[in-house]
Amino acid sequence: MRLESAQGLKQQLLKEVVEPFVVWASRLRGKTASTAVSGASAGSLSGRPIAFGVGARPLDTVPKIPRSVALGVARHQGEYKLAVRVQRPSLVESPLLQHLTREAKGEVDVRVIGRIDKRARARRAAAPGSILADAVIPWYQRNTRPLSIGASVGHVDVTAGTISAFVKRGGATYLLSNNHVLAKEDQARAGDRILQRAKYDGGRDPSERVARLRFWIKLKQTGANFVDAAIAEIDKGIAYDASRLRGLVHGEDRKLTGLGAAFTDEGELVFKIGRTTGATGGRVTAFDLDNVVVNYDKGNLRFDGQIEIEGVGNAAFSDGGDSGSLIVNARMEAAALLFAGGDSGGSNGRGLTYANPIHRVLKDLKATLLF
Amino acid sequence: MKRVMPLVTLEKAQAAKKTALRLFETVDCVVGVGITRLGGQYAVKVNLSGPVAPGTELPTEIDGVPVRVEVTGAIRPR
Repeated sequence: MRLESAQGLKQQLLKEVVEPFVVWASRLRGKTASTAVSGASAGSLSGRPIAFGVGARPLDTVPKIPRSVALGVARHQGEYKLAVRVQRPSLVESPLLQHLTREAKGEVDVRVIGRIDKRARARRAAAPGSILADAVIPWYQRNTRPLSIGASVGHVDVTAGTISAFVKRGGATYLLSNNHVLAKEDQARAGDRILQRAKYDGGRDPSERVARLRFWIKLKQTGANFVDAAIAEIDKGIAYDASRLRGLVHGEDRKLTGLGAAFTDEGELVFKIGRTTGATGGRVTAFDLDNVVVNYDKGNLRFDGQIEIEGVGNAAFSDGGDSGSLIVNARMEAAALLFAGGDSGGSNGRGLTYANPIHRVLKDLKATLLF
Repeated sequence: MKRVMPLVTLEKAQAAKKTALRLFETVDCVVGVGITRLGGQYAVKVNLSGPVAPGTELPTEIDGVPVRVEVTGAIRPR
């Protein structure tokens, strides 16, 4: 296209599409349920939810402006194109990108640039009736009863993570997720309130309180950690479904069939449902991974004995907020607990995900899996 | 069809991984050492947070076990 057309299109799309998206995403940081819900309702294009992730972390540490998409003009063999610079690999396959590509009639130059230092300021709110206004919030970010594997959950002061599974310890029933989701990286106290949906998704306290934090494995700053795991006792009267894997494969439900073998080999196909990217498929790229260095708020922590997974196709296996997801193998057996990831690497370049073997998680928590 | 026996057993790869952990202990940007496969054979995988400093040589094989190096970037809790 001509330079003037590319510049005009860029301005139009910035105003109509990208800025409202950024406003929506940054509003989710707001701590009041009403703000988060009305903001989230702007987060969809053509009724399809945008997978937007923020790591499960204390609410007061979330950046005001999230990483999204930058627009510009690129020159290619004398012709101008809309330059789209994507700051999160999970946005590459998103409705936002599909919309931008459609509007530019395919004349786009898309590149993943990842994290950068300066962030654009966004002022404009989504106009009523704009393409962003008709929203469908996916089930895993909503209030979900009975409690389900894959749904949004978090400590009352943590953004959002994911319900992994349901477990027994002694005579009580617990929901499983990560320490950094339920126990705020060891900063929480036993008995603290757990919300479903999580605060970041609009969860209210006490009306959406579903459990109390009980046990967690402390995150060590020296030496090796093996799991990032915690369990919260489910409140009386709160129903849960320990076996349904909602929409796991091609949108169809599956049932959790039990505990998988302790050994997970390279190349195994796996699946998960997470609060941010929903149901995704992956492939194990490495196992017995030691000295995995993860940047927590409390510093760099080392993990040993971990499993590494890449997304299949052109998608990332996970993004921020998917922490706690239960990873199942092709036989629908529990294999691992998702806890960390990066934006680089993997054969599709969409980043790698790290997970604790579920056998070790259950052993350390003295818990048995329900299914 | 005749089945080809793997040249690198899992035990051999695990032993090489131990050596790799020791070798890479002093390399700052190593953020993971594990087991993967290359061409159907078990191999050692070394993850880096960024490119290694100029002049740093990483082995491509340890005791006959291939080594695959990948820049995975920084890893954060999700």
